[in-house]
Amino acid sequence: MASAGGDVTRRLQQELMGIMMGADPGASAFPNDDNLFEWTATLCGSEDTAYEGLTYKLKLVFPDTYPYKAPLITFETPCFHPNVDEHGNICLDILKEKWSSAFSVSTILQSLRSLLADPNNESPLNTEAAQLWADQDKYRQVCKQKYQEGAGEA
Amino acid sequence: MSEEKDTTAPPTAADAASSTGEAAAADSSVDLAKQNEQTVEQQNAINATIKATQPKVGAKEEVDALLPEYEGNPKPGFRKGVQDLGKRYSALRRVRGDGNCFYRSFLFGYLERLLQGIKSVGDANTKAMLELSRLRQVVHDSKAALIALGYEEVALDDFWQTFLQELDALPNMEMGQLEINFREEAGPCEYIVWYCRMLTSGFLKLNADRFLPFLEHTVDMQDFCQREVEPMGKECEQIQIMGLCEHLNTPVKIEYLDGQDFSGQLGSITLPDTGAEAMVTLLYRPGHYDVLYPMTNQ
Repeated sequence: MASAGGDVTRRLQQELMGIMMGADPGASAFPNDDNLFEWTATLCGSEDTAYEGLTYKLKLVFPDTYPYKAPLITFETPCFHPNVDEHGNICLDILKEKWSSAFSVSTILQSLRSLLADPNNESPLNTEAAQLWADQDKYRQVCKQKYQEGAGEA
Repeated sequence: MSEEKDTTAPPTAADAASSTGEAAAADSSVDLAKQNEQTVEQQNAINATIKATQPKVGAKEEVDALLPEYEGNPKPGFRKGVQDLGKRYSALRRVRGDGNCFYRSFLFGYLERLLQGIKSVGDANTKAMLELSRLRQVVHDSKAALIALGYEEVALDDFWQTFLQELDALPNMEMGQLEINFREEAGPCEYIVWYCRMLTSGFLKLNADRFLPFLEHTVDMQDFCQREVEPMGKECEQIQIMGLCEHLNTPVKIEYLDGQDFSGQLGSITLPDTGAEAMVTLLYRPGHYDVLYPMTNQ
């Protein structure tokens, strides 16, 4: 039987293969340099949402206990969103108390895209974004503005 | 998200000004991070203690070994219950209390019973081999069923294959090897334990209409399974036990040592209750399961 470490590597390689073959236009992910345990993902905002046309970079760090433990995922591109804080930390149940080995990088990326379109405004990390959500025109404006400011910083 | 709700500042009118809003958001995020850190640290400390002091699967011991735990316990049902169990069960095997104890106890008890049968001769051997091949078929077919329910193959595959490999290795295994395998930290048997959670989840989802009425606060089986079944370390209620044992069609008998007084024998239940003989007997004590060995099963 392969060691646990070997299994994690195999699992991540399989997931990477799946993502590359799946070619999802809305989300992609690839390991950084030669480190299979640290990936950079790119998420495109869905059409007809405030995030349409915006592209976000995220950092995924896999623990050596993956997939028993969830990867640590943070936004690298500043993201104005009720469930993302100013450091890029994300509040999403499947990355916390609902995490199980049944999830994969590709399901996480899908869930993050859904989260962008459909925030959980009941427990916001960014209260400003949560309050503004009801006014979608204004929200769209602020979202674009913050995105451009963020792009300027980067 | 319920645990995070308490620490996150609710939106107030004062937050309407954007500068105040940002400050509040930053505060709540720091609080949240701090709280998460503390919870994780506490949990890690507890887990480390459990890991250091309790093997995943202990050695067989006499049922009476439980008596000292209930010395001076105000509920006489405990000591009386242990004494009753001592008359009907030859041994007990403690299993680590890490939230996976039902799945691990059940699986270990089941595979050990099969292995015992396989090591015997005559009818007992034939019966065990037939049962093993039946179990293998159920496990084999389960992956396709789970994929049909929307699970990803890449997430299931390692776990499913490991389960089949362990079942295939069982006939050539020495009795002690099963214990060794189950004790290995992050070893193959952990894969099987998690896959049992998926078998449970799959069965509950396929039979959601029947099981939902048992769940008081939930109307969404998908959500229930993600929250209460699939994550490792999530403890098990009766509904998960029904899900797993019905899926495998393997009855389990559970002796309830909960401190309640009783007359005659300690209360017990067999799930699913089809009248068939239980393949595994477990001891339930509030929040925990261990394996029991009936006198006749020696």
